[in-house]
Amino acid sequence: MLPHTRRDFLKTASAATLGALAARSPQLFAEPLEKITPRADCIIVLWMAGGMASTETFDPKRYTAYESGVESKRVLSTFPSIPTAVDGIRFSEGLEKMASVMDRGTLIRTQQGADLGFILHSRHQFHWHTGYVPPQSVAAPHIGAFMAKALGPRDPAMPAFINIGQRFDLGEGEELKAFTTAGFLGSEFGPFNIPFPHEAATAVRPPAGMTPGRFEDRNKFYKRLLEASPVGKYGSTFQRESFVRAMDNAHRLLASPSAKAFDLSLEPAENVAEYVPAGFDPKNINSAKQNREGDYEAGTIGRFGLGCLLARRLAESGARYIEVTTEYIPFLNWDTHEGGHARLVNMKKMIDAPIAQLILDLEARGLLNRTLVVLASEFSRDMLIEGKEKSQQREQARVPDKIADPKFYGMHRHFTEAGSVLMWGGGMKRGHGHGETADERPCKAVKDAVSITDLHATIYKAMGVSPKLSYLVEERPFYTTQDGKGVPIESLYA
Amino acid sequence: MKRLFLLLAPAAAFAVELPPPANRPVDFAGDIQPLLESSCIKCHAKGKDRGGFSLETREGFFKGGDTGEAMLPGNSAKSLIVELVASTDVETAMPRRGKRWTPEQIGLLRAWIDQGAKWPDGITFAKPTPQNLTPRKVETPVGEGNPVDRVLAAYFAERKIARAEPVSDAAFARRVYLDTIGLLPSAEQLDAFEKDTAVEKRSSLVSSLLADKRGYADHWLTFWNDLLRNDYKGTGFIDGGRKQITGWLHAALRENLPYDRFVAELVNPGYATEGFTSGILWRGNVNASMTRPMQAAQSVSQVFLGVNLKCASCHDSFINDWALADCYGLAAVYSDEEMELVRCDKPQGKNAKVRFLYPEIGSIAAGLDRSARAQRLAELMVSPKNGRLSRTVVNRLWARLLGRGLVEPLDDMDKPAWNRDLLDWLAEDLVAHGWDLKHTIETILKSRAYALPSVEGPKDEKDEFIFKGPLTRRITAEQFSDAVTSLTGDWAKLPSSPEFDFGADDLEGGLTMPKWIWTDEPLDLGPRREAVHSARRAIASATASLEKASEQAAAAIVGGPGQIVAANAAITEAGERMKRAQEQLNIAATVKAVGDPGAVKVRPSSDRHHIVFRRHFVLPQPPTGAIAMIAASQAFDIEVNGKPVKPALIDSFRLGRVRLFDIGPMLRTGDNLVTISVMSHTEKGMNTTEREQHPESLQHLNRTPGMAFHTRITLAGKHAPVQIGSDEKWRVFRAPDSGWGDVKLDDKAWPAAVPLPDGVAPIEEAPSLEPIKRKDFANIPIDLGPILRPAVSTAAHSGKIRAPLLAADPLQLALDRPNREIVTPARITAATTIQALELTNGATLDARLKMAATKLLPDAAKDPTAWIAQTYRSLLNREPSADEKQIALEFLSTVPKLEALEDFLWAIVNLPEFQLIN
Repeated sequence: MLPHTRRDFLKTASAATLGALAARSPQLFAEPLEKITPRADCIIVLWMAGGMASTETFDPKRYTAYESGVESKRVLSTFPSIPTAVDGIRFSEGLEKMASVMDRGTLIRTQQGADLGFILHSRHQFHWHTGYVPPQSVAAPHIGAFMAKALGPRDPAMPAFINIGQRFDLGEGEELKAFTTAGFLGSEFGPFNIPFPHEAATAVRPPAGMTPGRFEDRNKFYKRLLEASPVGKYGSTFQRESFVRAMDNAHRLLASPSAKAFDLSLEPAENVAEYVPAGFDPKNINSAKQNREGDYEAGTIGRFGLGCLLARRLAESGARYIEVTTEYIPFLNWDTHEGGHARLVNMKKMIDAPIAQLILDLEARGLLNRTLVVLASEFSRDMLIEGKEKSQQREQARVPDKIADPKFYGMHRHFTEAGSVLMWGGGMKRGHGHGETADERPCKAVKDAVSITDLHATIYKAMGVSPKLSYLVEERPFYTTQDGKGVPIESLYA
Repeated sequence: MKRLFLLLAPAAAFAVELPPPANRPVDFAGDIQPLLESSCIKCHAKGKDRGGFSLETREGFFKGGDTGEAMLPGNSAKSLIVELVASTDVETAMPRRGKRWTPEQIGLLRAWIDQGAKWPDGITFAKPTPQNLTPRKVETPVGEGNPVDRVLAAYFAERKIARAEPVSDAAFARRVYLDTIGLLPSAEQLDAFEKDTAVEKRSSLVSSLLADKRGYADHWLTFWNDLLRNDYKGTGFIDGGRKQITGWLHAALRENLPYDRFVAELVNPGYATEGFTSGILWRGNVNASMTRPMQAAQSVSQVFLGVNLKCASCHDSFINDWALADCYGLAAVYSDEEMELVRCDKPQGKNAKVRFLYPEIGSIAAGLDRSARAQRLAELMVSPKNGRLSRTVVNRLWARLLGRGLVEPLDDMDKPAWNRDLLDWLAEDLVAHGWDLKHTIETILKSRAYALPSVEGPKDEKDEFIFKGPLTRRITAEQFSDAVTSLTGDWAKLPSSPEFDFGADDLEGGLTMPKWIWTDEPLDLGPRREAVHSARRAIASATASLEKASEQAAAAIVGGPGQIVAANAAITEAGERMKRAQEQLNIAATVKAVGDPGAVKVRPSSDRHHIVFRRHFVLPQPPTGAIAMIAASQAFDIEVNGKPVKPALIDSFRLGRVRLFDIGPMLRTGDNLVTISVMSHTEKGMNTTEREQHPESLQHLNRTPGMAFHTRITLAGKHAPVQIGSDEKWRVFRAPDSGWGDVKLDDKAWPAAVPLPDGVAPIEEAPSLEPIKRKDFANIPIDLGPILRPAVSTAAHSGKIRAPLLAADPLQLALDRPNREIVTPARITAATTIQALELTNGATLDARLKMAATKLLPDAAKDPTAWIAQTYRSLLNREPSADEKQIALEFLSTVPKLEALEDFLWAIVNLPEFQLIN
């Protein structure tokens, strides 16, 4: 039966067909793909932005305590190691709570970054988030956008790709925008950005100052005007429908129970306390000094925790891809060019409790089995090596031979040869360690190195998406993993 | 050796398994050609010769490739090609991609070879003649009306498409306003147009709107920014590896630069246009396919020729006939060094040979230097033989105005047009009219085809396209934003960068360009400086005496001979004093710093680089507005009447550190003072480590440092605006005592500023001072002309700045304004949920509608019914129906409230009807 009215059309046309009707909408590249049974329905990426030193976190090496005059070349880790719930896996001091849930997860010690010469964080972040090294001649989609396109939302009212905690008006903001996008897939699959987790509710609420009653009245009035306007007199039905559908979707989210998931004020105080230290005021983010002396990290502990709490609520309410970042701000947070040891004490406080709690909460709610949680960073750090061993790259932090000032005590250079990735739930092995790194500098991967391409393939496959899935852009098939070459690491699956 | 390996390794494995030759006579055209076409020619014909093997012709086939002869006629069992198609070894088997050959197919090939490999004359697999390349003259059918319609008449007749009636005046006006100047017609403009009874009124409207140079440039800037990936703010700037062409582009549109020159200036760029071909420089290692010359090849071919070289940047393309060598050949134009071909990250051991994509148009000689190559490329691009350039651009214009190209995709001009005559006629007509783009736009807008009711696009891109009228289009993010601003008239004061040269024709008194000024005061303290100052005072005094003596002499002419003698004596004496003072100054200024006891006392470095400029002026009337422009080679602070001013606009891209300041509110009737304090070292922005690493970067001066200042102050009443620009009237002092910002300070003893001679650009670093080591701290070269003129013009034209000239806000980003990292030939037309969310609860639109409602409330309250009608007229460009009026009136109630008004406006701008162009 042919649809006769707008309403009929809306009922019969799914989002997918309307999407395909849109001019220049990317088409699936017709190549038969193996059917993959998903292990997980939802993914939460915990992004350690700015380069997290693995020897200071999840792959500790020999500890060298600070003393004036200590030789830089002796220092591999500036914290002692601690045991975890799993024999043979040790973490760095300050991550006790995460250590206690290691029995629920898999640790990859050997993520290898691309060798891109003179390091620019945003290029490596682009690589991690799209699977492709920039620059690209077409607009590469974010992994979240690929998931949104391939899998759609779990709950139709909920945006499929939600991105929490990153502002775009700071240093390198434009560079971050380059990969925080649906690219050629089209903005329907783009990120729903929530830069401030504590303000998440406003993102799905009527504008400030508008009561729900007024919001409803406005929408009713809009619908009446729409019905009264001479629809269909001229022109394209599908375009008009795409507008109406988009408005319906937006309104549905704003009016739906799912919107409550964004409202952190609905979370019982005792739960919030598990994610956020007592006395934390999210407004601190505006007053915390953005300097390299550690004031910023010390002043904003709790912000990432709120993001994790929000992620849990969204996962419960049907989001598909959620990313929570510690936030990339050049030279702040994990991007330690000086004062690394002291600042990492606070970085660990920022992530330890909330991540552990997130895992426990998901488990308690019976969601961990079908929710894949991935913690990753664009690369690791080292005290001496910039980039790769023996590379001739320009050093971006000064390292004296002998340390006489604590500000030089820490991992201040960018190291791409081995970084840590953690995965929990979503069909991954539990209490499992993958790969080995050298015990002496350079602490690079010596066994079972994992490329970002294969890591992505593993993640995609867990979500039921083929690493060879591609969409056509300018007649070129563009794949979920670089050129379709990603190979899942089967040994990581339970 | 290589061949030996290839032959022996697989041969041993499958020699026994070769399928038998077909047992019948084999026909090349019927049996072999289809096999070669489906399996081989993608890599080994049409200009491509993977592995050195091309089977374009029989000769090429027989010759073989890098691994030797492809076949031995009469002996298929020992022919390499048979081994390769029959091989099971994934490393060597052919074809590399696609289906394996069946035993029957291999049998056919074998039989063909065994039977002598007969290849009929005339069969080649050479590149086909490119589509849409050679210019073709199209005679328009004789008759009345627009030539576009005359060409289309046959098309419609053939398909039996009935002539639809053109859209209403109102719908037409809406389209034309949006397509020429990017704004909706106001209710008044619409009224006037509808009431106009002239027969030719549609045509007149098109012409008069296109004559609005500024409106046209502001609107079409969006289109060209998307296409030239200009106004991009991402990666590249960090390392100084990216440049905008905004100023040039806006001026080119404003002056309607002929398209052949437009292209030539971009392809063979100068200072103002090099941003296009220099692309984006990424920090670190960049894939060979995306180096700057390769980006240039991709952009030039895509934008101007509708050729996609992106695939061919990495390997011979699978989607078209372009080979890796073609892309490198074009890229080589822009490379300073030899370029080695790299195929999928593997260096090929041979260098690129510079070449143009279409040898039939002409070639680029080897051995030319880079600028000569670029010049030659520009010649070829605009050559009368190159019908591709004109076709590509008219196709883009057609698509912009009618929703779909004559050729689609717009970037693939190798595809045939749905109406070849129309494409070719438009292209020829453009060239015949001196490459006047406005002429083509005008022709299209005045056609009946443009005025047809809009229709729906093809459901499936694969379906054959039938033109029945323009497709429904969507207003751009910029048009949406401007339409909302039009409600209130609260336009932005300044654009996003001070690069816009709006000219000066519309300004009373024009614009007087400032001079680049500095000081000739020595760096050192002590007697030398005293000597210079004393000489200056002597010159000032002698000048005064001379002037007095001249006056005396003038009076003497009337007074008689006795007075003349006295006056003469006074002149002579003043002249002598002047001469002595000049000598004194020369001696003082040339005292050598080294070894001169007077120069021993060196100022502290932090002081000696501190220069203060002062300028007094008097305003006869209360000032009503003034934006000041400053460009300086160094960091600076500005105060007006003793109070510091904050910049109103900081150019984000280091345009020689141009800043605009809104100083209007700080000025007053009567005496005014502007002081500019320049701290000419670069310590700012360095951390401790960097200071330690780059001590040489702490102190740095340009050889010819300086600054330029300009402001145009509008005054109350009918008084002409006052312009204050940097020149010799400014006073300048090096390392002055405190209190220099005080309006009352007597600066008579301060030396006058020294203007830089014409033609000297303050760009070089001083060899005598420590040169800067950290590049990102270096003083940015300033080519004064292209920067000062637009900056002065931008400042003088503050007010009514349109969205395309502003940075994207969250609303525009949600409405698909692209970030322009790559070429965006067309924007997406369907709406998305993310957009709707921004429209529904985003702060940007909410704030603007609140403002609009506040402003419109009095009118709405006076007569709600009339106001509703008026708003429908200005936003939807039509009358509301009785129903709509009723619904709206109910909602607003008889006494409209602010909130209801805001929500009413929100509902209107969210209607598909508002966001679409029907």
